[in-house]
Amino acid sequence: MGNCFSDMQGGKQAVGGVQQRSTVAATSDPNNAGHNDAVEFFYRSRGLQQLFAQIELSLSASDLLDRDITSKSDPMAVVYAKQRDGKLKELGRTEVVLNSLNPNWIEKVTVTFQFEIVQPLVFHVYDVDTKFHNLPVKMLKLEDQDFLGEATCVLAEDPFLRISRIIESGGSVPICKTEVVNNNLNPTWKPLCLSMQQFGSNDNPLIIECFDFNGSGNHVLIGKLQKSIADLGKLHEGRSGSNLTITSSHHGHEKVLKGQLFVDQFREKEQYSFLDYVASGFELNFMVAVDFTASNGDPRNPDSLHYIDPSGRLNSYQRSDPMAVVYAKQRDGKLKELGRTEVVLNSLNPNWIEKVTVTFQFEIVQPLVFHVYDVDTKFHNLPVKMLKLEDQDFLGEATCVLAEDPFLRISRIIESGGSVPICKTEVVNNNLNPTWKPLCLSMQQFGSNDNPLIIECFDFNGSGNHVLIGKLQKSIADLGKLHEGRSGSNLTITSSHHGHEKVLKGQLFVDQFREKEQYSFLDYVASGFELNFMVAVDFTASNGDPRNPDSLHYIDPSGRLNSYQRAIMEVGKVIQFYDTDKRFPAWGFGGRTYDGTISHRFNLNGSASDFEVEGVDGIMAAYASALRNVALAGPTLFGQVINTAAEIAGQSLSYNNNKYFVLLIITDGVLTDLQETKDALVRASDLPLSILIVGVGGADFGQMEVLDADNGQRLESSTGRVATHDIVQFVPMRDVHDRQISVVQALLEELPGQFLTYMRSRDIQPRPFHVAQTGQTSG
Amino acid sequence: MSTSYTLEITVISGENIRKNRKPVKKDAFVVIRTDSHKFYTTKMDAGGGSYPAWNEKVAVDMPMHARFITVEVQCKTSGGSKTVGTARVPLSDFVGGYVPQNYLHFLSYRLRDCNGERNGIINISVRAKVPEYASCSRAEIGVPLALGETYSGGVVTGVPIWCAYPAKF
Repeated sequence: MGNCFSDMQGGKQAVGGVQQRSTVAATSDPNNAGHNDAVEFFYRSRGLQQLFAQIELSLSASDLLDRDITSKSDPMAVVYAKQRDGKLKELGRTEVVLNSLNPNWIEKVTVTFQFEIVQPLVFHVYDVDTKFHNLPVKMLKLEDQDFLGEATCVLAEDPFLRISRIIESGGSVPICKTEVVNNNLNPTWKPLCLSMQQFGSNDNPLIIECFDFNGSGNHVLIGKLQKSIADLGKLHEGRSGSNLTITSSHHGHEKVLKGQLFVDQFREKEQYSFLDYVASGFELNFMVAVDFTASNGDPRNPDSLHYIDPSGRLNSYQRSDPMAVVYAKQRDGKLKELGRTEVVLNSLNPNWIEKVTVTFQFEIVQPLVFHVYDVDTKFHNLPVKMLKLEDQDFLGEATCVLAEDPFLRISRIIESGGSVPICKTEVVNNNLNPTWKPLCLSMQQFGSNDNPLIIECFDFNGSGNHVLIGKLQKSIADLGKLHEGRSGSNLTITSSHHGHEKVLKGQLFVDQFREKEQYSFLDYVASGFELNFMVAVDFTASNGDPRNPDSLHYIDPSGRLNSYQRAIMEVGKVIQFYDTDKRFPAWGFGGRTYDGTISHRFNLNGSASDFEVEGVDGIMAAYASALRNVALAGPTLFGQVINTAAEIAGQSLSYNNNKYFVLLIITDGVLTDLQETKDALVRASDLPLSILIVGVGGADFGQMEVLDADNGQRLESSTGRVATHDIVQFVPMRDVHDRQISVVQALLEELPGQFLTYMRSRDIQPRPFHVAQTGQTSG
Repeated sequence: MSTSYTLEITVISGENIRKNRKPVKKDAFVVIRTDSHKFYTTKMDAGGGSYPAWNEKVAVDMPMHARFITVEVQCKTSGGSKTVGTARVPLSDFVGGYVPQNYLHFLSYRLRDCNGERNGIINISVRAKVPEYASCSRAEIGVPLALGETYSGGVVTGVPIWCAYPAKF
């Protein structure tokens, strides 16, 4: 790959494993892309194997120079092969991308990749001058264009693999790498041997990166994947490949497939440790030889290394006899002795057998203090209780608190190797055997059932410095198995002493494990669920005389829509999309109809019996005609339209359960009877119905916010019944204008949520619907 | 004619329930009454405190004449138990109306204590199991006669009597 570098051969060797004989023959699969059947057939008929592969180059560029005055450059790329004599032979061109300094060309350039030779490629990027835009790219004369720049590369890859292990801090540490295979897009490397000490455990995630060797040391990452040793075993068993991908800096960080990794050999070989042998009965036989040379000094001299101190203090050739004493630290700071262990002879790492019993009180924090003494030989025959501590050698002290406020934190391992916390449980105070409330995780949070999750158990500390008690790594699938098998999994912590051993700190059990499929709003719509739109318009006098241009109901001859028309249009447009029959019930309220009575629910189209209109246009027409025929009156009462909408929604349930109703109420004013509306809303809250209220004009809509119940206060009717769901969404039109969000966005924000709440609470799933039979509406 | 029908009531959960002005610690349970004689009790909720969760299904024999059911939340006391909150569920909230007879109703009610003060919310679900012979799931809409030009009638909607007046049977 280019430059000469010292000791190239050395740099290409495999590192970190035991070399073994390669027994796998190389395979070469002809690439399918841009395959020329005729050519291949020709060669095959003459007994010649293909020595090349067709590859497709996708090109993109960034930060190009801006050559055009009035707009940006219009770049096009040309690909050349540099021939032996230095001349450039054109291989292909991309299309021209208009007005872009960061073009992502769609046209691919096909190149024949020959395995045996190194093929240098040269790329030229041109800014195509405007007057050539209608010509086919091939016809463009390059000398007439603006040259933007050149790049070269070599069409060969020297791939090698590097395996890294993800460590606790989130980073990764390389364990080993394969040798470099020159000029090969389908390389087979020699086998690698890894020890458990290197990769941790069979489930530890390993990052396998495939690099293109570069003599300068700047190896280019071709692609990578993350697999555990167990995953690699499965790949080998299933004879399947795993995708090597790279995150594209364009395309919004999409993963680009760069190749596949296959595991040709996979063998586990058990290697026993020193402790395995000892545990199985192997013994070390200890023999002692003591130095009696004169250089130690006369034993009668206190400076001698052999001096036996009458006071009992041990010289270097002897050892300590430790005993531990446990105290409880009382409120006044005084220490109260709780118990003592026995004396262990001759040990600097004692494992006392005598236990100390402590009364653990859940309510208070109990600090404990430990003192370790070296007991003088002459006291060895006394009961431990009788020993006077002030006569012993004090070796050291330790304290701890006998209380833990544990909580769990679950994190997900991300591609870069780090971990991102997903959730944590509540803190259980003062409990060494805590049971936490169930946690719910969505697939969006944990990725996939096999994604490794880190579960850490912390001891809550008010200052925020929570102490890690222990942790473990499990995937969702593993947790499911733990639940099934009713078994626990060890929480461990890496000890800073004892040579980084894992210290067992507790066990984690999974008491509940339930998978629940959750469909999205679009899943339902796709399977045939419909939204049915209904609209109710405020005809109270507070809107102002419609003939007056200041009126909220003024129909502008120039075509400019008033607030009512705008709300109907914008909301209706979206809902109409989901409403299959496009027939909408449309009502008015608070107006005086032709017979002189004030109605709180009259048909907008003026008909006595039929309340439906066709399409959003139908609503607009009915609205305009109603303004001519109905006199504005009052008061502002929603109860009747809500009840009617509820009736329609309820009746539809007799036929099927795939319809959801949306009532849009457009009003300018404050409700006259808030309780009546609350009653109607509570009665309607258990139905497939959502109510969107748009407030037009400048009134104070404070009470409407109460109906919206976004603050968590459920609506209460006058009979004591409380709303089952929050089915109201309220948006004041002037807020929409101030904040420049569309009224549709604001109003419909809660709609999919309310729809899903209704469906999920009744376990109604997206399915091809059929007419209800008795008992169809199940819960 | 039978003198009762079955109500499938699931006592789901309670919210913000207090005993003597303090949040309930544990062991709350629910008693359902349809008339003065019969009552049904749920298990005690161990860990929920003032937000107990029972999720317990109770099959309640509803006498034909009964107009409402009473739901009581009770707590264990040293002497037995004490009712901390009561709610009345009227028949009309789950029978009649426009929804199918066997619709699963999710209902919630304000609980009030013996002094009439508000004390939390109770969440239940109710499904009426209507006896076979009086079963009807929906109003039936008739089919127009295909009589061509001479046809001048309309279409009727038949509403089974059971749906409209359940208490009469």
